[in-house]
Formats: sequence, structure tokens, C-alpha cells
Amino acid sequence: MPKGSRGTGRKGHGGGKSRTNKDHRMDSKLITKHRWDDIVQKQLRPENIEAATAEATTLDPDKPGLGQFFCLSCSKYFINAKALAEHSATSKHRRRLKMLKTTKPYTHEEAMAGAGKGAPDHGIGRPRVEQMES
Amino acid sequence: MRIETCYVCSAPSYPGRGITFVRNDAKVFRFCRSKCHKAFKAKLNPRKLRWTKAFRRAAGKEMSVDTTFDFERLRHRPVKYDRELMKKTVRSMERVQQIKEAREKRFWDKRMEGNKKLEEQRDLKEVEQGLDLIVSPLVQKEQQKVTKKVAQRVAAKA
Repeated sequence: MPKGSRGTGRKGHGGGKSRTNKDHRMDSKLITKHRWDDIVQKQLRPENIEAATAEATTLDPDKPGLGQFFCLSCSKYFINAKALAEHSATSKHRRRLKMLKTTKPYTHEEAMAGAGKGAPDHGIGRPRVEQMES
Repeated sequence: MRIETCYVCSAPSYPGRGITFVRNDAKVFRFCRSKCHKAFKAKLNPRKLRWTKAFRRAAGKEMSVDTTFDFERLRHRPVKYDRELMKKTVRSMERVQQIKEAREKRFWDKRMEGNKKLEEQRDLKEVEQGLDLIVSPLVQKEQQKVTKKVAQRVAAKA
């Protein structure tokens, strides 16, 4: 079993959670439910945030609260505005939001730089539209 | 043929080795071995794993800004085969590697500069604290008595 997924610890309660307070788990750091950090970081940029929230909050009867109350940074749906507001006030959410907003996302370029390779050379780019017209 | 770089540990991965993951937004991730693949699946940040090159660079343990890094890079630019150019490149590769190694050594020396002094201090402290293991406490007490007596005699004479 990978580190992120946990057993229930109880018999006869398939898929249920064995403890209520999720903050005090040993491996709470390794919860992997949220989406990829680099994607979320892109969505949280001021120019993308509106489109991302609009896409995530389309009406969906299968989601909690018809999919109307969504936390972008934690990728989580809530039943109503109050629940969402309560979540936004938790330290867990704020910690994650701060991490996403302040740190630079890790990229393959960084891995290549670590191996002593410079920035990728993409060669001559496509000709510009203005040049094509003239 | 292209030697890929591992997304997590930055190790080279040759054709047929490791695994490639293509995410549903067409982003490609390459891994040199299952250890790295597992770290990725657990959504661990390679910058925070001590055994990766990314960590070592971010923590200032290895040279990160240098002109020797500009030679080896991913190139999406086809080059027509030229025997002379090939010859020159192979020759210069050797020289570049020499310079790189020398610079790396200099960087290492600079990083380890203060270590000898620190070690000396630590050793001295250890000897001071563990003196009873070398000289028994009883003998130490006797010696102190003797030195005290000598000091008294010197004081009396003066």
C-alpha cells in the first residue's frame, strides 16, 4: 500500500474513516487527494482564477452542493457557502494556499539543470503572423 | 537516440530504462527507476528530497550558476552532420569537462573551508569533557592538590 492511502483500521466499515481529526495523523503530510501542485498553481494565478472557478463550479447534481462551492487550492467541494467559508478559515487550507502562492512549481527544467544541463534550445521559432502577411 | 533526464533525481536514463508518464495535459515526466516513480506518485517535491540533484542545488550544496552548464542541453534543432564540427565538438568536450571538474573542486573546497576549525574545536571539547576516561578522577584530584601546594609555596616566597 502506498504511503498516501490508508486502511480503515476497522472491520465492517469499508472505506470509512477511522478517526475524525485528520490534522493529527502521522502521514497527513502525504495526503495525495489534491490535484497536481503545478496545475493548481497555474489556476490560482489572477488571470486564470476566474475561468478555473467557473469551470469547477458548473451545475452538477452528483457533487456536494450541486458543485457550487469549490475550493480551488484544496480541490474540494462543499455543501454550502458556510462550509466553504469555514474551510477557508482552517490553518490547513491557509498553509496550502500560502505554499501554492509563494513557492515556484517544480519543473523538468529544474531536474535538467540539476544534471548540469542548460535551458532547452527550441531552435528557430515559427515565423510571426505579421511577417506572413507582408 | 536521446539520453533522458530523470524528473526526480536528474540521473541519466538510457533508452529502455525507466518509465515515462504522460499526464492528461500532455506533459511528459520521465523516471530513471521505480524509486523515483514512486516518489512522484506520492506527490513528493523533489526539491525537498535529500537524495535528489534538485535538493542539492536548491540547498547550495552544488555549483548552480556556471558557464559550463551552457554546453549540454536539450536541443530541438536539427544539425546537419559535419565531420569537422564533430571532431571539434568531441575535442572540446574533454576540455569543458576538465574545466567543469576544476570549478566543482574549487566550489567544494570553499564550502568545506570552515570545517577543519570546527572539527578541532569539537575534538578539544570532547577531550575536555571526557578527560576522566584518560586520567582517572582520583589522579586528577591529586594533581590539583600538588599544583595548589606549589602555587602556595610560590606565593609564600614572593
